[in-house]
Amino acid sequence: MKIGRFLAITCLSLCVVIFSWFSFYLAPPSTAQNQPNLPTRLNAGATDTQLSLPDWQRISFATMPPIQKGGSINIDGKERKWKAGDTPDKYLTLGDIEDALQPSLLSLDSITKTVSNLDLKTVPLNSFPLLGQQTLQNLADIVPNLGQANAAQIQPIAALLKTQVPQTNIDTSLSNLLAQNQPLGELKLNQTDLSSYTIEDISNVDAVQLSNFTGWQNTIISEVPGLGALPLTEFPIPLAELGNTFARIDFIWGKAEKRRQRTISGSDVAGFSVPCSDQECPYIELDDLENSGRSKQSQFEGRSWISGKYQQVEGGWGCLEGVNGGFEPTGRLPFGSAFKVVVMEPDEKTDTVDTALFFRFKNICGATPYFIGPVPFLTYKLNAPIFIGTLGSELSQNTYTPKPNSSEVSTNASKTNTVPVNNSTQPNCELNQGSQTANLMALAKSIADTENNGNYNDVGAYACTDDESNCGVSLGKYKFLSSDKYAQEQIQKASGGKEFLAKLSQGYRPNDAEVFQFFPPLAQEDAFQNSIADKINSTSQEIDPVTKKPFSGARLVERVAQKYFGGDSSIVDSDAKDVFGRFSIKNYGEDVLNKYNQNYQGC
Amino acid sequence: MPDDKIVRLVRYFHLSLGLFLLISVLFLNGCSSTNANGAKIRWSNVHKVPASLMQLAIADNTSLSSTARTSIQVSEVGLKGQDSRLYLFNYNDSRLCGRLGCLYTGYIDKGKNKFTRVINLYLQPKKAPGENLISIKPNNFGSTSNLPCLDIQQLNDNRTLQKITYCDEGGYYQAVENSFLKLPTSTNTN
Repeated sequence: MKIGRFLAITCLSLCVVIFSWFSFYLAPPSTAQNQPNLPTRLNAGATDTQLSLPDWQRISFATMPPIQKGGSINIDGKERKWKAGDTPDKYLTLGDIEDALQPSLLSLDSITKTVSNLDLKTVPLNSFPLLGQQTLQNLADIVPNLGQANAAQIQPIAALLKTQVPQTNIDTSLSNLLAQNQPLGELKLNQTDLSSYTIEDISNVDAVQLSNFTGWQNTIISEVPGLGALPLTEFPIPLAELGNTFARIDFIWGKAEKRRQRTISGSDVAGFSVPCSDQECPYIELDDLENSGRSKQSQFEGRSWISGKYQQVEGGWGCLEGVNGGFEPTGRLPFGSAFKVVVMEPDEKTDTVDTALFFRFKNICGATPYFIGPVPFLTYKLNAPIFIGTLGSELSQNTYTPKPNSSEVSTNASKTNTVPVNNSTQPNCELNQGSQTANLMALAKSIADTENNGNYNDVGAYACTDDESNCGVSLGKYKFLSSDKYAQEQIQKASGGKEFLAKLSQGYRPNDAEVFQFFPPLAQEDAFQNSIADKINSTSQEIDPVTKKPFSGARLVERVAQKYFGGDSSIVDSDAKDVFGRFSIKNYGEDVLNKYNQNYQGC
Repeated sequence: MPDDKIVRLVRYFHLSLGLFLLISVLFLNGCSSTNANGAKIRWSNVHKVPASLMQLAIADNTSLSSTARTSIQVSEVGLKGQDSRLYLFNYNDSRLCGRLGCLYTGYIDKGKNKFTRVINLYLQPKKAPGENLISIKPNNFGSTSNLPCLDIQQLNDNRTLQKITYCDEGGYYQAVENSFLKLPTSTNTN
């Protein structure tokens, strides 16, 4: 009996000890940050440290903290506005987050499967304005089986037809109706009052991928039912940490600091090691997590993350790079390209520092700098671990050269160009005069505008051509394969570039920092322009089978674009289409020509 | 009280029924996986392809000279209930690769040395591990065509896979279905 009691008491004590130990072990460190309205999760660090990260599984655009400042800009004649107090779902469009999260691949059905309280039977049709903006022809084309359905049975469409063309007999299939009376196909659904219908009144519309709706890019997130509430990890590209580097905040320095050279902050255009000088440079100084002083010197010991509230750096690209003067707060992209994380106000008195998120707008031809913010993010105390993502080139770069203006870029690109290429940035009329020349800058821009380009730090898949003998990794904004000669030309200029290329040819997947180190934005632009310049030169010496003369003027522009999209040996005016079977190589050439002509309207 | 024999028989019956159901489930599962993934096509050199078809495939679709043919690969697919074949061409040449991907075409044998093109597309040749760029699967879309459907898989940013199904519609392949799949998160391959 006594032995039994003894054992029971021993077990109880052991349980208490184990429980206490676990409680202590799992408790957040005393220096952990505050998380204003942001759910967080704990990650075990390599040194038994508990590292706190936002729990993106429980965060959606509608539940992110509201923006603190309002503003507006005009893009393509359309005003983009955001008000203080708005959550990001109120001012970001699907196009703004397409590169980062690819919402275009979602459908209402896939959103409903994740957002539990969304019932399409009760969601009013007018709460999905994108649907209202579609023409009847487009709806018949994209909604499965809608064309075969009786038009009189599809309530919202029947109402539209009754109000717009009351004399028409609609008791037939929608496809028949549209075939018999083609102008009906141009009617838009929102030309009738949709407030009394629900989304389910148009069968199968929930199955349509968002990218099939005309104008999806300009749709605000909150205007797609359920999308604002979709956890950020449930997008086709889930929001996640890039890399796994944490640092400890060793010191917090205020506005008295005027000069910092060794930084890990910047932008995806200027690189992530932009020095700060001749201005107020408050910053946080970083160290390894162990806090073991100089006896154990980590790779980023003493590096500074400068406050973006005080230092602005170059940002944005393409046709939107000039927005906000071409500048954005300095910071990092530890969670991908959806938003930038910026250190705001390092406070020496309280030994705390707050951070904020900044967003950007995007369209088909470019991206603004990350300047839409601040959206309050995490606040840290001295000694707290802070997530900095991937780290690489910042550690070897101590200097930074501002990017040259566009005319300097063209001069640089012209080094490899010969006679027919005109690389002037000023509009000219040579194309209309049937000259053999084409304006390099304008043609390069027109081609870049025609496709949905990525970011300078993009890393794509490993791919091979020529019977597996020519393999590489797709890199950067223009998705150059690392085996491409124009990309190689630029990468080899960087110290260690040849070794880097050798690794890529074996399938090595570089991180953001390595892309910036070996193939920085300026080098990418040079590679792109050089490739276009060479295509202009070679094509202008070939005979056009249509005109029986050397390619020139509009035909030269079209053919260069055809080669860019389909390869140098693609057949002239090829009808081979893209993977979705939508546009042919010939269509791409025509599209580029239209854009090229628009660039020269002033001639 | 039931007879022991009857009890034993009922037991045997239950056991057999269980075994039958298990085998059926395994068999059906095997069938459905085959349907979902489709049959992988095999690329081989072009020596078995009629010379006239080779010339046509090059002249119709490229500005290459006939000396370029060595890099071209072909896959032959037998057609349901017919002697004729579907020939898929992978040009496998960086000069026929651009931003849209690399050129792939397909021809069917119409007899008497006549061939008709049924598909010409640019596809991104990169593949997810274990996946096929093009797979053949039966046409289950209610068509009377003898041509099989083609499942084409395209990688989106290493993290999602897009599957586009092309089927014969009126003598030419058209996209009939488009879906996407998430891939497991990949790590850095050093």
